[in-house]
Amino acid sequence: LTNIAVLGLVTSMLSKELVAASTKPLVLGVLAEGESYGYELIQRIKELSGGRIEWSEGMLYPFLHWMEDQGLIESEWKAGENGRRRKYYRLSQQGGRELSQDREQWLMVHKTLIKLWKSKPEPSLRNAYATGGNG
Amino acid sequence: MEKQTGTFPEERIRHWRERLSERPGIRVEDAEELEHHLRDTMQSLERGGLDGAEAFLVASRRVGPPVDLGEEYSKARPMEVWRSRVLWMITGILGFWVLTGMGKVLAFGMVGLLGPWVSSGLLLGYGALGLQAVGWVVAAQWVMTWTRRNGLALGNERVAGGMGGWLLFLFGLGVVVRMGEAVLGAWAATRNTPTILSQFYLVQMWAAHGLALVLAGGMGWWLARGKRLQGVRSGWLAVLLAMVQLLNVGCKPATRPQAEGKATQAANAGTPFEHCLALVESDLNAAVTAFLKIDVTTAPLFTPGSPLAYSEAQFIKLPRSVSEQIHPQILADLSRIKQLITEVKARRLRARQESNSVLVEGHTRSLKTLGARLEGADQLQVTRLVGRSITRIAAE
Repeated sequence: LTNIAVLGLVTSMLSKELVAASTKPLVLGVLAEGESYGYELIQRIKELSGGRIEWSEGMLYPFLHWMEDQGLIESEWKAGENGRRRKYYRLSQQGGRELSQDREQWLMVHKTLIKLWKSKPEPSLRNAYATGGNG
Repeated sequence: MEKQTGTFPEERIRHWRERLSERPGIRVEDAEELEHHLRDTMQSLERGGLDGAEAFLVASRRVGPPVDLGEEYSKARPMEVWRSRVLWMITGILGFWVLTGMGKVLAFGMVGLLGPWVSSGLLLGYGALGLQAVGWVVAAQWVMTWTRRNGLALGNERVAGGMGGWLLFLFGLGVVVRMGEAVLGAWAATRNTPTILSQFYLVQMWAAHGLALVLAGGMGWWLARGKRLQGVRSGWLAVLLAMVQLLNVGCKPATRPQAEGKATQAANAGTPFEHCLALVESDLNAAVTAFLKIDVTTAPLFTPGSPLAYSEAQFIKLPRSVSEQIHPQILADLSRIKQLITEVKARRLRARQESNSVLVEGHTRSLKTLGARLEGADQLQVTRLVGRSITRIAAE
């Protein structure tokens, strides 16, 4: 997983290590909203991150196949709206459980970091706290 | 810059997908999925004002180069890649075995059918070589079409399952082809003179195997072009196999005529008397009839180099390994002579009972002449003993 994510998924804003760690929960999170196909999945992540997380597009697919092999997601070929068949991915039961665990862990890290950094904010982070705020 | 035509983006998309399918880790359905992604991206870019060609260039760059994509897929499915490698190697070995076997069937069929009417073994050999080249080209074309349609990834469950049956079929076909080769080879040998056969073998052993080497290597190169490891290994394996095959057959011609029993006996049927001997086991009556028609007074009885052509002095000087190989063939040939003579003796007896003095005299003369020739000083000792027996039978 680490190798695939580090080598394959490059973003403009995140470090490779963070991409390696965050890709799985991001994909699982989008699929928790409903089934989706690769292109749509990438667009959704781009939209949610305000364009700040941008994957190297083709590389998502081997990663999706890896997730499927791990039993985290399932796939099915279906006819799309323009008549061309598409491969749709959806969350499996195991993927749902994995997402819950990931969510707990990420929120725990997030809360800890927020507390830590809010008590002694770096000058460069002040703007980020001021404009962000979903956390 | 490439000139834009009505089919330009479609053509480029097709090429792009073909390049994807050639990657060892990428299945056909992966290429299809990536193509959908490419088209979705292109549509979005075209809505933003780019034309088809520009949209393709940007979209294909965003999806990523096929080489890198192939590597990522291979990492996601390492077992599949290995399965694919093993399946390609087995396919290559079996394919080479079957194709060279088919080439030999074609060659033996041709020399067997046309040999009696064509005086040049070289001509027959090169004719067969031409047909073999056509066969190789057809096979290469088929492999190219198949891999373009199905990709190089043989390792996934869907393709690998089908491959099992296909390889089994290929193996069965190989067994049948090789059996056919043996039968046709023996048949062709009975219908040709040693000169024609030796010329034919010369071309077939070297030129046909050289052709197989070049074409198998070429096919391996084509499959491997631009790829890392897998195809290159398969290609070189094919070349290695071809070289082993070449060395193997290259060593054969010297020993082959003396080592292959009945077929070789027939192949050596160069003199009229040898032709009679070749017929003894399959059709004794025809052998005797042919023997009684030939004049054995002066013509050579045995082709130089054949087992019974050795004198005792020459035989003693042979290396032990060669003389041990030849010895059983000498005994087998002498046994055929005895069968022939026993039948001639029986016919003479019947002629006597029928008081057909002309036939009796003719049979006696043939026996006497043969006996005298076999008793000659240039014969092996054991042959001279047989000759003495024949002389005695003639005198009865």
